[in-house]
Amino acid sequence: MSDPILALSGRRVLIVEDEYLIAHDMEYSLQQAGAEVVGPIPDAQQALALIKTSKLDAAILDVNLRKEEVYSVADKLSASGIPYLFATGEVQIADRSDYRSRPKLEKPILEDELLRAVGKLIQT
Amino acid sequence: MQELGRSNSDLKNFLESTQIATVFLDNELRVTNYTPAVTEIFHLIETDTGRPIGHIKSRIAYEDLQSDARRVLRTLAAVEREIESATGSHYMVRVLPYRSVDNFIAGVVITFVDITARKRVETALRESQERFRLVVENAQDHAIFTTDPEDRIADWYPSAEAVFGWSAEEAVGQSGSILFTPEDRRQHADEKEVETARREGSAPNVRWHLRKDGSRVFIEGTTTALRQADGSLRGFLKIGQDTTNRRKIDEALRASEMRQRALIEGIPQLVWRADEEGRWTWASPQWMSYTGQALEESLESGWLEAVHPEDRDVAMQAWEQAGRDGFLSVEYRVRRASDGAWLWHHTRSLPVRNISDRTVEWLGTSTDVDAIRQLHARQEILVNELQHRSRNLIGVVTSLATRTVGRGSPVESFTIRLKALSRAQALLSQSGSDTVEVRALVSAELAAHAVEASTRITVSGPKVLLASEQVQNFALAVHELTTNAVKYGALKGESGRLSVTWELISDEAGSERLALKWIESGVDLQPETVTRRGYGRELIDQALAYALGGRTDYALGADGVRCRIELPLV
Repeated sequence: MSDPILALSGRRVLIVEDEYLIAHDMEYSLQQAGAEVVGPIPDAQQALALIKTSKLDAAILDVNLRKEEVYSVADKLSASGIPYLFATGEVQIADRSDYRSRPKLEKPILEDELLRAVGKLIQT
Repeated sequence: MQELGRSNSDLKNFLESTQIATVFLDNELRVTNYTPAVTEIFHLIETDTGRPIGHIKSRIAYEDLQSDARRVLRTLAAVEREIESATGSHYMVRVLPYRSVDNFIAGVVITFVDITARKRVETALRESQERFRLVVENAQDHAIFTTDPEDRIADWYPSAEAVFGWSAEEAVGQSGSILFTPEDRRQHADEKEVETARREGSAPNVRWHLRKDGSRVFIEGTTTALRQADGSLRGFLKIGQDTTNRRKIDEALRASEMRQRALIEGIPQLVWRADEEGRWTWASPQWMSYTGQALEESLESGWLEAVHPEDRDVAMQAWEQAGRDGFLSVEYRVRRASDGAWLWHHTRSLPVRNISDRTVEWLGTSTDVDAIRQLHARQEILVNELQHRSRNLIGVVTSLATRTVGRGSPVESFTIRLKALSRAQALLSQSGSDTVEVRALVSAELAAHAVEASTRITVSGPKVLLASEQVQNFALAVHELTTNAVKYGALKGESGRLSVTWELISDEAGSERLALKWIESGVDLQPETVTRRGYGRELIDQALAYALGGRTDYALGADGVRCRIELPLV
């Protein structure tokens, strides 16, 4: 299998992350790898709207947003067949097999680690 | 002659009609006459008249009959004896001289009176007295004595001396009241007792009594009226057992039981007793008031009704396990009657064993652990929250490093922001809660850079609390404004002034927002300042808007920066 990072080129990746600095760090990393970033978005409401209107290849979801958890976004992505991963500081992911089966990156996330994980989502 | 014959007939008739066995002997101790009753004693027949008495076979052991008769003939004084027959009958034998009408001695008259019945009564009486004596003298802890009708002590037995300490010489003649305590005497308990016995035959006597040495002895007994055959009062018989020691043991036991009861009913745990299969035999008042169950409702398996339906299986399985483990330890929810809440309880129980190590019952407690469980759950949430925060913080720090040093800025531009982050974190941990005051954040940031310039700085506004997730970005924004002012603005020269003020406003929806104004004045603006737009500005403009839904207006006025920050409050 080829380098997953190469798979990012020209792909559209949604970032849902409420921490500004972290969100923009991920945005910067993905842009450097040739991906097009949708967002970043700090809350679920805006994210759901974007999923409706945008073409997406993958998504990165922070679990614990300012006012809510991200699971409504996750469900919408599943329904639309868009692969996603969790990028979280949480120790636990809600106990549902659909969520548990998704890749999970624990913060702090290294740039290389992030790019490979998203690349793999797109490859498969 | 005819008269003599008549007289003889009278005598004969008399002798035959009398039941008293009588035999007449002449001076030679020959039988001259006898009454029919005497044939019970001597085998006399009519032809024996004139034969010496010594020749007559006798049913009684009276060896001295002839010598007694001779002595009577000699001394003319009567002889009396008690004789026992072979069949066990007793006779009183009297030997009297036989005086003829002209007063000379013609022999002896011997009478036999059967005293068997009297003898038996006498023996029975003697035995009864002996038994009474033995009982009285051997009843060591039973004081026994009698008093006369005026309740003066008449008979004082050794057992009474042993119990009360008074000797018979000292006690006899004294009033029975000397044995009563002063307080009982004041209440006339002594008189009432005797009065009751006089009226009703007997009276209970259960009370503390006084000993000779002043100490007290507890007596359980009765006072009984003694009456003569004619019904008149002869006195009183007082019998009482010294139960002082038993009473002391009883009292100690009762005290011990009361202490145990106080303990069981005083502790906050719900206490109960059960058999080895968890069937309750007793529940403490705490259980009843907590669950609202009556005692009868909780007994047997009734207590399960107060246990949450989902936990009942667990509770019963725990009892099966307890039989194997020798102890019970299980947690289940118990319904609190006062508000219907199901609260978690930790139930523990151990078997109570008797001296021979057999389990008699199980004694158990149920302890409210609901608060502890909630605390535990809350702690878990806090630990998760802490994880979340510290992981995010490292992410933020990494991002800062990438954006500054990673893109060619001096290391100082990173460390100075790291310090600002640290100050914000320090305020969060100091406050001990999830909030920090706006004034504290502003003051900490200004103090870090411009202590000596304080007279040119105005900071004022109401008390507004920021939530933990707002603190970090807000502190970074204030930091960027401050360092900018230190490098290029109001805090650089001697002439500049800074005013930081804030207020609470409401938006269209009625939600509260913080509105903060940062106004610099008297600043000599340099050309490069006007055109500069670095990472600091980005942080102020973007970060607050992105993460906190804030709105910033940043403008460079004629004599300095004017910035307005508006933030929704959570």
